[in-house]
Amino acid sequence: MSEIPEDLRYTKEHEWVRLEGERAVVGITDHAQNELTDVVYVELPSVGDGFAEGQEFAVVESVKAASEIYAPVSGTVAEVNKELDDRPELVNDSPYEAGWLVIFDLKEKAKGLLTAGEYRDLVGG
Amino acid sequence: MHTPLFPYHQIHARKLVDFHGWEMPLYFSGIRAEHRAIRSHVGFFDVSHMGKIHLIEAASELQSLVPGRLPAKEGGCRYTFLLDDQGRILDDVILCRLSDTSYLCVCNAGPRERVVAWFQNHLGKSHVQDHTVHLVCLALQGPDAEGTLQPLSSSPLSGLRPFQGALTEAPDTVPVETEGWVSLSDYLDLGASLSPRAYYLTRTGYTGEDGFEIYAPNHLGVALWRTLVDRFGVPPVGLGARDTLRLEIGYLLSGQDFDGHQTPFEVGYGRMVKWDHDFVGREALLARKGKRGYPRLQGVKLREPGVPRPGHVVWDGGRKVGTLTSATLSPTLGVGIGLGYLEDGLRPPGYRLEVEVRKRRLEAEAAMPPFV
Repeated sequence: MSEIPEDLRYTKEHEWVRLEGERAVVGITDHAQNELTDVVYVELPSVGDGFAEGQEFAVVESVKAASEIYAPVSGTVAEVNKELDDRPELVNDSPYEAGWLVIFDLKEKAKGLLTAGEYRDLVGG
Repeated sequence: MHTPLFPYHQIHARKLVDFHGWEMPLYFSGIRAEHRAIRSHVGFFDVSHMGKIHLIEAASELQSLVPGRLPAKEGGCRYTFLLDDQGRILDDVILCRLSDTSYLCVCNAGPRERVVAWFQNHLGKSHVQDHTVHLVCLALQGPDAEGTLQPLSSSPLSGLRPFQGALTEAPDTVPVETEGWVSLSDYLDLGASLSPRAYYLTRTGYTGEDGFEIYAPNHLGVALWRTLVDRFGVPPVGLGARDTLRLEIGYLLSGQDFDGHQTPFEVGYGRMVKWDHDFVGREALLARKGKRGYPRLQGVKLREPGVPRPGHVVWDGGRKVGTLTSATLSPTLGVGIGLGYLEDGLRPPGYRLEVEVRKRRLEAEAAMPPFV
């Protein structure tokens, strides 16, 4: 049973989004980190890079496989989680807190995101 | 297919995967934690999906089939290849000499049916019994394996040398149902009618650490698993760590590092072929012997951060020279390691190469496994 916090929004690609005014914190879900297995390397974008919704913006490498992470919103990278350079396992240990990936400055209002309930239906959690 | 331990895996594995038709645990607590447990202490696998083929009254014929030399004494175990007429590897197996005339062949899950057919073809059907689903196989691995297993074995384990097997018995403290029980001697020719607590033990493994492989009737195998987990607190380990552990040593994965197209020369095991006797594929191999310039399986180690994967291309100067068949980030070293077939023979350790990881060419070097 994976954890799915009620206050977050989700995508079908198993990312979570915490909307904070004009900003969005993005990471991968507990379900995703479980499927990926131990994360060993995270390739993050640079601050200032712009991404349209659906564009690949990061790669999470686990022991078993590499996974592209797609932007759940359109925006510019305001911050990246530098902590992951040395401790990629935070994505496993704390997917919704210390294991966040990037913060976007939103270009437009986020749309098409799933609620916790909708995401729970999707993963059968 | 499921092993008799599947009810446990279903509850405790964090992720299950399909492995050649078997639904198996990928990991329980985490691949790296399980990997570390085996490198530093002890851990154990359910590898009951491995083929367990009983070869009866076959000893003399068997030696004229395989390229390696078979053990002279009971209890001896040998790693060898089964080859087709063209000298290509069908599978890599362990052959354990159970008695004067009988062997247990432990083969890989993927090619099992082809291996059974190969033996039937060469030995005759009446000499081949596939007991894969009748026997549990547990692999207890790590520097603490001997001390951990000793309380579960009636014989002293310190006397069992690497690649030796022996019959032993579980103590009364292992809860075994005796109603309708079967014995190991119902399946394997071990010369006697054995108690339901008897199991066969070999000092072998696939991790590079000291360790044992246990062959037991299903009911006893399940009881031993429960005892190791519940009473001894030994961490169960999934196929994820099994793969990273074996790759750090450079052990081959059947179906991935060889896939029916390579002879022992390409995989770098030419020295294992003994020419003093006949074996299947000998003529074809002899024709190849001494020739150079064919692709060789080679270790590769990254010099910069990145995670190599099977299928990634290896470059030598400006030239593509091969692809990786196995690759990962070594949990022990923290760097990318891999095996791959590279053109033009072996390169010396340290020879500069590049591996194309996700469209970037990363600096790498040739390496001679073991990597750790």
